[in-house]
Amino acid sequence: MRTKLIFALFLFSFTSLSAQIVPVCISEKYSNCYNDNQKWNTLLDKACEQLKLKKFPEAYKTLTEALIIDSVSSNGNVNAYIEVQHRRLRNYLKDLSQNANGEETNQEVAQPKAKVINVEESKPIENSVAANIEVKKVEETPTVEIKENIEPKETIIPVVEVKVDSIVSISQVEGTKTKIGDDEIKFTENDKFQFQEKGMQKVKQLESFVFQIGSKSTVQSLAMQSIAGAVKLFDNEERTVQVSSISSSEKRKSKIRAYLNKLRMLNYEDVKIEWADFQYASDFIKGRDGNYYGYIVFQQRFTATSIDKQKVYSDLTTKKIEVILKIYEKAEQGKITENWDIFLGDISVVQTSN
Amino acid sequence: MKFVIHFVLVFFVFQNNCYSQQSKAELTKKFAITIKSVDDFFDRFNFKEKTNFRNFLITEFPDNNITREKLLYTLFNAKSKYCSDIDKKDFVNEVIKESYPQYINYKDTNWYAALNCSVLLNGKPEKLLLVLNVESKINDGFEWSITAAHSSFLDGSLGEIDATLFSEFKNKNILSDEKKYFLSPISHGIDFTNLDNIFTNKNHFKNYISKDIASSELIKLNNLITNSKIKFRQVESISYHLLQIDGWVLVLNHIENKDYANGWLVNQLIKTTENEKRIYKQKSLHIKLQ
Repeated sequence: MRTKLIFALFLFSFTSLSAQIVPVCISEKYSNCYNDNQKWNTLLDKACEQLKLKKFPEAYKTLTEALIIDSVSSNGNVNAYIEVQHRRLRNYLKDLSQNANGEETNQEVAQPKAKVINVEESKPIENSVAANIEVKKVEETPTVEIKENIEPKETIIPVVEVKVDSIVSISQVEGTKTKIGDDEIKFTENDKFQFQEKGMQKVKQLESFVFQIGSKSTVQSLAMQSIAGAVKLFDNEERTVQVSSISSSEKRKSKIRAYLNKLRMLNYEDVKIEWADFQYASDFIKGRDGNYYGYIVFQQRFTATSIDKQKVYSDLTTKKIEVILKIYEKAEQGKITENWDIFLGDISVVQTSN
Repeated sequence: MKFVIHFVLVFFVFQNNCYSQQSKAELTKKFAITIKSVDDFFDRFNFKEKTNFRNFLITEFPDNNITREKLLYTLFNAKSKYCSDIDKKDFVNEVIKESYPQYINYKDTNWYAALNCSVLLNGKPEKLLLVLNVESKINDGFEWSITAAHSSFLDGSLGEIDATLFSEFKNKNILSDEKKYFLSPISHGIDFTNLDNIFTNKNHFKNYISKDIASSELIKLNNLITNSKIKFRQVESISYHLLQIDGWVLVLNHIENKDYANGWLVNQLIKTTENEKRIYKQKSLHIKLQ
């Protein structure tokens, strides 16, 4: 019975991996994203048209350009719906390219299938951890999906609190907390969720920018725009990125803009930077300056290739990035309201392996 | 115990030096198992629910009855000679005692980060130990503050003139326009990569010191920084010293094992009395108790 279940699980995983959802454009949803920037609106129309014609790489490029423009003009608060479409398109293109390059995915799928047969034949290992791992090998790398219905520009919720908890727990479900006394209001679960989502969104935006900057196929003007967009995600330009390499125990630090410029100038034919396995590692903790601080941990896979497409350098690092929640006052129609935004801080590297 | 064995099994599966030969799913699992931060350690120690790690366990090992006791055993460096099996058993039994279960928390006052730093003193490489702890000074906010400094170049007593600085240090007052000179409360999360700020913001060293703390070493370090005689290079290694569990001191190090658990693990487990803890603070952490 258990074996059948494992086999069914395996089949499910196989099916879900194979069935790629073809990206489409729902014109109405795209037009709902229009704003005052004419170039942005034009790019959305163009991307939509390209999607309808199934020109996926072109549509991806157009959406990338649109997001960079949006990011630069909005201090990193890009339109969430378009960002999700952009990410989906990117994943779709990635899957397509993997399937085209030596059927790598199918090979991975075929392997556990054989293992499942072994499990059926050999009952004693049915309950072993190893058996479970082999079956689930086909699962995709889990990533935190940004919910499609989040519209950050509209949902920047004014924080009405005057005094809040010094630690905002984001992983504990404690229910909604409300007013304590006359002037003390704690963050609600919804607030915490919003902070968490927004922080993750900004880190993923940074990932997109870093990918664009590193890729040699990105035209120079777009790379420069990406650098500008990436820098705006941080609370100030003094923020640093720590880097390491396999050959040295020394960890060097560069200011964010200098780091991105160096990344662009790397002397390889192509550079591929993938970030994965994002997770919040801490609660948001109030600092001396009244801002709240948390951090996200993720893995970076770096691959550099030479002209003949040979891999010349690759490493795997664990990175940690500081996430800062700033609460600020804003005057709107004669009223002062308190708003919040999330910025990125310093980035550290934990370990490097080849 | 079965659970521990399973963990070892998992690591045998992942035993592979070259990441490029491992699938993304394998890398993701290895990443999930690694104790990536002190916060992650705290969560596992406290058996906190709904964490990434607990969710991972439920998904990967649905048939295992995971208890706090079993999880606690996985927090030790299996290869450490400073954690005996007898001590581990005693420790776990005490921590999970039904009548008095013990937990650890970020806000606890009795835990410290010891940073082994490399610096340049008048252009010459030197080692410097900085001990920091979490505290709340103003604005209900938290921060990491320096509690002690130790190095051969900080030895010796203060001169008469410097001695007047002692009371100034002890009664330091943080002005509101100095709110920005502090180490972020999650500096441990980014492995204190921001520590060089202390050396860069030369005239604000006092802002980074624990309240009510003054020592000749800290005053000397202050003088070296303000006179630009010392230059920070990098944090070479970090250890965390947890003194908040009754009768025990835990020392965490970042451990890279190929076939066992990885990350922030208990590398030393020391059975102590409260008085011994006091001595530990003075001798091992070089904290000048006031």
